[in-house]
Amino acid sequence: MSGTARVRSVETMTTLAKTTVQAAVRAEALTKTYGAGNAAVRPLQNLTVSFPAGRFTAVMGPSGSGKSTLMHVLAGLDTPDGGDITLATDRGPISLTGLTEKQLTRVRRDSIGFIFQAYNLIPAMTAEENIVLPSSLGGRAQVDKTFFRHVVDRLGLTDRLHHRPFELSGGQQQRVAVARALVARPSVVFADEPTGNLDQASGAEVLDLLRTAVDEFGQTVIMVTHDAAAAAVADSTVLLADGRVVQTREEPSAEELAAAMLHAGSVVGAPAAGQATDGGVS
Amino acid sequence: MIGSPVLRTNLRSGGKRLWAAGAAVVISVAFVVTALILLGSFNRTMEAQAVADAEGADLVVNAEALTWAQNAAEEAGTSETSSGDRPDQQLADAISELDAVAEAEALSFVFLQGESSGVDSMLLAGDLPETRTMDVAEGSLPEQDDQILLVTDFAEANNLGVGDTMQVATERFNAESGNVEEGSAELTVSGLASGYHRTVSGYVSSEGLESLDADQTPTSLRVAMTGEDHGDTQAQEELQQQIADVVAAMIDNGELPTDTGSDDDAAQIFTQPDGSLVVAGVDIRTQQQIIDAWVADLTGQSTALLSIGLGFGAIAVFVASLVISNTFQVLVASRSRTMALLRAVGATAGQLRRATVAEGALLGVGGGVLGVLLGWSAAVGIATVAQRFWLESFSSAQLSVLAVVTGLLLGVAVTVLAAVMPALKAGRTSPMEALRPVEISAGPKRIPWVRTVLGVLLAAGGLGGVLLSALIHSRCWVPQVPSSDSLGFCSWAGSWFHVPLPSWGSSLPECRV
Repeated sequence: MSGTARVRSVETMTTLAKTTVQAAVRAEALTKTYGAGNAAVRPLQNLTVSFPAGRFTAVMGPSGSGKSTLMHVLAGLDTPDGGDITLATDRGPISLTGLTEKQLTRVRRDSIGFIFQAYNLIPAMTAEENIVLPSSLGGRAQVDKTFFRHVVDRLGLTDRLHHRPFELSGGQQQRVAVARALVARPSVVFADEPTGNLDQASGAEVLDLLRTAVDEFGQTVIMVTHDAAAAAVADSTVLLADGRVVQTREEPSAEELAAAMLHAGSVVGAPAAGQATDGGVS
Repeated sequence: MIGSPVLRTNLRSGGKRLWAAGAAVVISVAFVVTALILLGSFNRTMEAQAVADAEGADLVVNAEALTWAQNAAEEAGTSETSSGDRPDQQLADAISELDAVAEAEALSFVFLQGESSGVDSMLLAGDLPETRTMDVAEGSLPEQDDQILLVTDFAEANNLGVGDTMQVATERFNAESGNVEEGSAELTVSGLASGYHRTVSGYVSSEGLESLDADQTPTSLRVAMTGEDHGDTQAQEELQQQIADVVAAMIDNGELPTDTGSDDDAAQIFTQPDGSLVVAGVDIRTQQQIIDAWVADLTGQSTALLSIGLGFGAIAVFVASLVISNTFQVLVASRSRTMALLRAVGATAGQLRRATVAEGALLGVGGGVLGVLLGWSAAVGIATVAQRFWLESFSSAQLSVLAVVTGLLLGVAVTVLAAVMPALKAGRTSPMEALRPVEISAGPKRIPWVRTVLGVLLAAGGLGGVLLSALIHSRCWVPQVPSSDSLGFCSWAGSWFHVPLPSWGSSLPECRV
């Protein structure tokens, strides 16, 4: 496992090609509908997308574009009405479609890391307990102590391990959440508006950490965001509109992305104003 | 399961709320444990008293059936025996003839109405049994016809001492005229007898009993055996058979009255489940059998006591289960975000359910252990008070396996059952809820002082009520009764009435968490 990560990491840094990497998550022809008739909302309309392993991919889109629903479905928190999702894990590819709720829970525990907008730490647990939580829930073997130390040290949490969340600053809490997502070495880390609740400095720090996770630990990261500046930190950005992929850009600048967002907004005919600053949960 | 991070989280975040539910468990368990331990004390007391009363007699023959049969025969005019003869006396004489018998005495009592100290008191005076060694605490046995040996409890209750005289009214039913003739007599207290006395409150000599102008009610025949056979179980059983044969023969010969008239089977000997023999309603029991019978008789009353105790126990348990269920519902609701997060990062619904039930079970075990200890302490306290103010010979409270097992099982059962519904709810938490952007909650919450203080005050008030009623009732009620057992129970029931109060007191304010 650690071997694989190192190989990926080396690969990522040496080749820099970032083209023909194996897909960590692949979604094909996803559909999802809420409600019926005229009131029906279709956040996913025959959506097909692929996220390369060992890369940092951002998912952007205006409000209602389906980016949050896509993340829920890809992360096994919700199930699509149609289509297929394949997750490449260290135990081979897993198809999420057709799994029971219990099996999906296992997949979340063993193969997926989460970083939420609202930090989402367990208040009754210390930072260390929060970090090893997925492993302590069972399934995976003991956390790799060396890797744990490495991640904690890199995130500057060594002195904070025995603190409770309410004793930590917002930035520190989010770092703990990042550590939790990384320490279990999941196949993919999903970040849902990770900078949404942070000031600019802390937000930049968290983005830097996600960048580090990809570059140093060879982690696959998929980040849903409405913030073009945040998305610009990613290797590539998938732009969604109206439940479909509009375009995928490699290493775009923040300005390009902001422009593309406005364009995406006008494509679906949604009001242009406020889209770029939209709160983001679609 | 203890190692489960979910359970650990639950216990840490449950904190103050769990204390309230824990207190409810402790109190209801303590209540039931106290009831069971005191019941044990009660039964041991009964047993000790029965043993004391049976001491000295190898066999006891119940003579009441003979009296009823004779009365029935006299009323029907078919009496073959003269009314002057007491059938129990005749039977005693016949039994005395048997080789193994040292002594067979027919005991009876008279009903007297006392007028001492301005307080009306009933007094049952019986033959001084020669087969029982009287434990005379003060004074001496009655030697004159007008002397009486009083049972200490009765004497104390009526402020009588050695040398005091008491005026008593007597009644005798005149069969010829059909009237009740009233008389009176003056008795002098010759001494005080300590220990337990089952039927009577005082003893007079046989001559003294005859001299009283009152109807004698035969009770039983006490039979003592000779020499080495005295106290030997096997010898007792052999003699039991012989006595049964004697009774059967006398009935066949028409020497003893029977209820069944000319029925040929009247003299048939039956063996009862406890081993005692019955001939025409006359019970013949060995020492152990009569002890068991008396204990069973008294336990019938303590079963009623148990029902009262457990009835209130059930109410306490019910209230506790409401409090616990309410607490867990609130806990689960307040944890919904944490639960959702746990679900998102990989806790299964089953893990959340099990952790909630385990939380309840832990609370039940902890509350059960504390409840057993508290109930035990309360029982020891009540037993001590009982010994001091009610019955000196009341057996001390002893922790029994039954009480411990019942207490723990009850504690766990109540909490686990109360946690089941909230646990199911916890299992239904959607992981999606964790994604809602909500600020993390602040640190520990402030302790609700007002509620705590109110709960403690109410609990203290309830507990005070228990002790007060135990004191007042045991002092005032019991001494007015000659044979104090039956109303003594009432004083206990009275004190138990107050026991649920602490649980209500402490639990009610918590209902609105």
